[in-house]
Amino acid sequence: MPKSIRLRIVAFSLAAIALSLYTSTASAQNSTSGSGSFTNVGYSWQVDQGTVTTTFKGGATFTLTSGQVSGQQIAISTHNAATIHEVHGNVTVVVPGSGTNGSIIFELIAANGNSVASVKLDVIGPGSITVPISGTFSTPLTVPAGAGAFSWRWYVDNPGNQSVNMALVMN
Amino acid sequence: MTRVLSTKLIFAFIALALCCASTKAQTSQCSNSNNCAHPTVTEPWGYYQWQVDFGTTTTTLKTETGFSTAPTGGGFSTGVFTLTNARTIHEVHGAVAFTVWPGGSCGVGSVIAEVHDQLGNSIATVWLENLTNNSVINIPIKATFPNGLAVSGLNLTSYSSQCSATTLSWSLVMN
Repeated sequence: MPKSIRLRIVAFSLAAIALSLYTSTASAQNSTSGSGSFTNVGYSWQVDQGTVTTTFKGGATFTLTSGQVSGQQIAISTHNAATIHEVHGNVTVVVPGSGTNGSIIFELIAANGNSVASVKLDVIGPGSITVPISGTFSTPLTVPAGAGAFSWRWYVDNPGNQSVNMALVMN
Repeated sequence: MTRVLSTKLIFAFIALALCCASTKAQTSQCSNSNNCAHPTVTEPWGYYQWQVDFGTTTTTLKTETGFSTAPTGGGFSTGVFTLTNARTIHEVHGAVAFTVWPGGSCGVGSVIAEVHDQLGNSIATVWLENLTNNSVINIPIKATFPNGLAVSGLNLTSYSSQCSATTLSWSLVMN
């Protein structure tokens, strides 16, 4: 892939990561957010809470080099405590370049170690995959307010440009 | 080509609006000042249109938003529109579709799209990204609200980042 195209895709991904808190402007929502980077990895997340629902949005972009592994756990804070009976949303993985294979484990974990959603997805580039998430918890999960309400984990070990987005509504 | 296909989508949507608005025992409200025959609202970045159909039990939302370019700052919101029939919903099912049209400079498009109620509760949220050389993303939406959600208004929001024209469509049945 030409370098100019590759740079544009990275810039595009970072623009998506910026997220800009725009979506938190809906009325009566409380929001928390964060962003950061590791070597060849950029990420951002946002949690919006209405009177009933808690919505997590998180995106990460990877440009790993050959042999590099990114296994991270990000602490996610909330404004309000929540009880989760149900979750729905999606996960998308995009690999824009040819000759690159995407392979990603992506998880959102509640404070007590229970998994809200977990996927392991593979993509042969150029390509993308989007999967829906739909689940119920017959014993509801409780999530406290504040730091560490959730943990966001990923494990990526394939080199090249790939991005992952996750959006989950919980109630 | 993009413009032609987008136009076809618009007309398909309008036809649907005319069809469904005439169903007996169903009432509808639409974008563009409740003009269900012509619900399209043109914006500097593209267009949007929505229709809500009310049966005796179900509330159905159908939308289409076309982004020729990303809105300034990336974000768009219809603002909360008050529903003529306020209802408590316990379940939602339907689909969301996202197309990244050919012809852009970098071959990729991304959107965070959400359907909120009047209190900022999310009925559905997705973060979709796709390449121009891929097929359209269509994914199902299915969810329950065990404690119920008292919905008297809806708000469509999105945050897009793109190099190509994109089209986003929701179809959600709530009851």
